[in-house]
Amino acid sequence: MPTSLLDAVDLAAVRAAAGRRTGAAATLLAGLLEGQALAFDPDDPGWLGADDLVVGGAALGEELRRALDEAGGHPDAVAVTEPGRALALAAGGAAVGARRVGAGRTLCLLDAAALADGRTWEGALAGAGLPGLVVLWTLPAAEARAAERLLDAAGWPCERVAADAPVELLAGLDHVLAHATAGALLLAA
Amino acid sequence: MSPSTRWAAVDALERLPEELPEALVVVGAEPGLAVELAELAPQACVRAPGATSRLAVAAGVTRRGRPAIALADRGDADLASLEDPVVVLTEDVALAKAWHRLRRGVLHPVWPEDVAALLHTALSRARPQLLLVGDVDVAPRPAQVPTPAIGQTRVHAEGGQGAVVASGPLVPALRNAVAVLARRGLALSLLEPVGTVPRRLDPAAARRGVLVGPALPGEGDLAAADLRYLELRGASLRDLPDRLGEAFDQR
Repeated sequence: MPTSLLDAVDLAAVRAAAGRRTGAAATLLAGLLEGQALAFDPDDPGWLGADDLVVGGAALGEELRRALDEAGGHPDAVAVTEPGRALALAAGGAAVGARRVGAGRTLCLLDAAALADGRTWEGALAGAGLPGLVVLWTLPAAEARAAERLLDAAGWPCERVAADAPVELLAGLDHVLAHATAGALLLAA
Repeated sequence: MSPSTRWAAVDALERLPEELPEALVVVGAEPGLAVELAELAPQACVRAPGATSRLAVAAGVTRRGRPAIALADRGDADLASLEDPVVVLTEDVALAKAWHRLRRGVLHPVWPEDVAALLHTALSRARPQLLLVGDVDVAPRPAQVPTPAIGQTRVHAEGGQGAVVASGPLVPALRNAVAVLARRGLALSLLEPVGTVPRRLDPAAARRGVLVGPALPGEGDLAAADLRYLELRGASLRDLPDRLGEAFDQR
């Protein structure tokens, strides 16, 4: 039986880590790293089961790289690209992962800039239905609904949570990471 | 089956799962190569309906260590963002011209026999490549002409009085035209840059360069092709385009 993140995680540590970080993705990064939602092997950068990370936007990418470095991960494994290109890049990676037994998931971190770029819609179409593809999208509450509609129309199961609520976020991560096909967690800031 | 480079490409892609099982082909939903391939080799296909982001999907495939071919049949492919070693396969001359304007070499096979070898070589390169194929029928490849190497200039004829630069289906026709002119006493070189940006064309091979062509990026775009270093000299050669055109008609 799969273990829930909420069963295994030290919630106080996640809250403390979220409080130490700044930026819209602070709680998300705490959930991924201190919440141990992210799969990586500090001793083996090439581990097949490691999560593949694609980030849209330099600032968010730098934040994730720094956080991963602090957690003993491999910051060079994070692909940082333009916000509109990220989901398509992740879809290509997930298509490979889907064909490789034991391959890790592909996590795509987006921010508000991705919503304004039409390529994100194309990326959503390419990624729909692919197993192991997870979008974690932080954006203002007013835009989260629009992103949800976009992904829903492309056939993605979506869940929306508050970006600064660790318990809600971990529960959402739990659900979206358990999906058999591509899924998205929208973090309304 | 017509002996065009387009059909040679379909044939090469169909054989890809056996010859290079790691390779994946990123396809759209437009009629054409993509639909044909999706029917012939569905296990090798990754669907990316949007033309603009299709190359990014292919880049994602190469990021995870698998060779990728992106079929860019039509539409606004995002060429400028592509730095990954993806092979873009297209029938769209406009797309090939846009690629050329980025100072990237276009692979424009002359004969169907060249297509599979060029495709496989392109997949092994560290930089993105664009392979332009078409539905133009050409005569079979002469036995003495080997499959070209990417980045080199294939010399079809050597003559000291000028050079003609061409690619694609123009080459077989120009071979004949250059042969006609040679019999009339005008010795020209015929050069085919194979995936080489023209400014890297070997100046020694084009030593008394008179430029007619290339097929890409097209007439009037010579400045974009940056072929200016080729010397245009010799008053007797000023009428070469007319003479070549006349010989062209007599092939």
